[in-house]
Amino acid sequence: MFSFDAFHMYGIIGSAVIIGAIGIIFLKKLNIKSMYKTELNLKDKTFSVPRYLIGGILFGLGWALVGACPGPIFILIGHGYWSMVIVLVGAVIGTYMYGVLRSRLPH
Amino acid sequence: MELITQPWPWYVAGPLIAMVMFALLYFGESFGISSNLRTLCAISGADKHVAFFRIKKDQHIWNLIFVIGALLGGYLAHHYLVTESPLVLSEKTSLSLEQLGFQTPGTEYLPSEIFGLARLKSFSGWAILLIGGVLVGFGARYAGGCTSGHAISGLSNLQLPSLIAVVGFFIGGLLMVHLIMPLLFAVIN
Repeated sequence: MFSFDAFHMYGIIGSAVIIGAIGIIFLKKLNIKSMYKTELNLKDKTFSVPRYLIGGILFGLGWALVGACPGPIFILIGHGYWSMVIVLVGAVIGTYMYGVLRSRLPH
Repeated sequence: MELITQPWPWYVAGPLIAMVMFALLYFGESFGISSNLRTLCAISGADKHVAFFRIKKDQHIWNLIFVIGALLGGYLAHHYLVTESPLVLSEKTSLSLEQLGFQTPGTEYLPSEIFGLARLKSFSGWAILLIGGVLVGFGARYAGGCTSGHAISGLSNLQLPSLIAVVGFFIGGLLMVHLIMPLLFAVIN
């Protein structure tokens, strides 16, 4: 993906987002509710730059290094790639580190 | 049967992911995997020491069940769907991977040069996996989401913060692939 040699990942994310966006526009226009008759969980996020940009870059570094984001980590463990358990452990540790350092980070 | 044992094309996988997002919205939730990492911390007792993990665990069980489902999906795919070559890499990517020391690019999902159990006997083997994981976990929590929460759910909901996050994901990915990895694998291989 990051060598721009294959369209596959862009196709997956792109088609998911296009269909997702069109679908959500319809869901909102038609005022569709959840199965529990509540509002759909489509909250707006407060605008900021540091947390999304810095967090994003750190995530991207890890994503490219181990070739998996959180979803595939679990899926690949299901496949039997036991090394991914180490990645999962790292991800939980990283999450914990964030919890600890949070108040000292720009948001 | 032949058709579903080949790698599924992007125009099948992508729309399916959107369907998953719609289904979760219908169930009153949303599509975002990385919050499970916070739940796992909370369940492991992190909530005793760190305020960030004092969440209402009951409200997050559904998402744990979702990833258990994903894990199961991986198991079923591995045993019933995957045949010989799970990946289709471009010529150019295969060549550049060979130059970095990867001997059989594309024959396995996860190259054994990094993910093989033999690699775990070396420090660099563990380190890459652990540090990569830490970056994913820390970055995702800091950004408040990963590719599912931001790239899929956030962009579909036209959220500008999610676009910033996705730009960040790409900057990180490009830095790693074009700057850091060539150095890293030159040293290791």
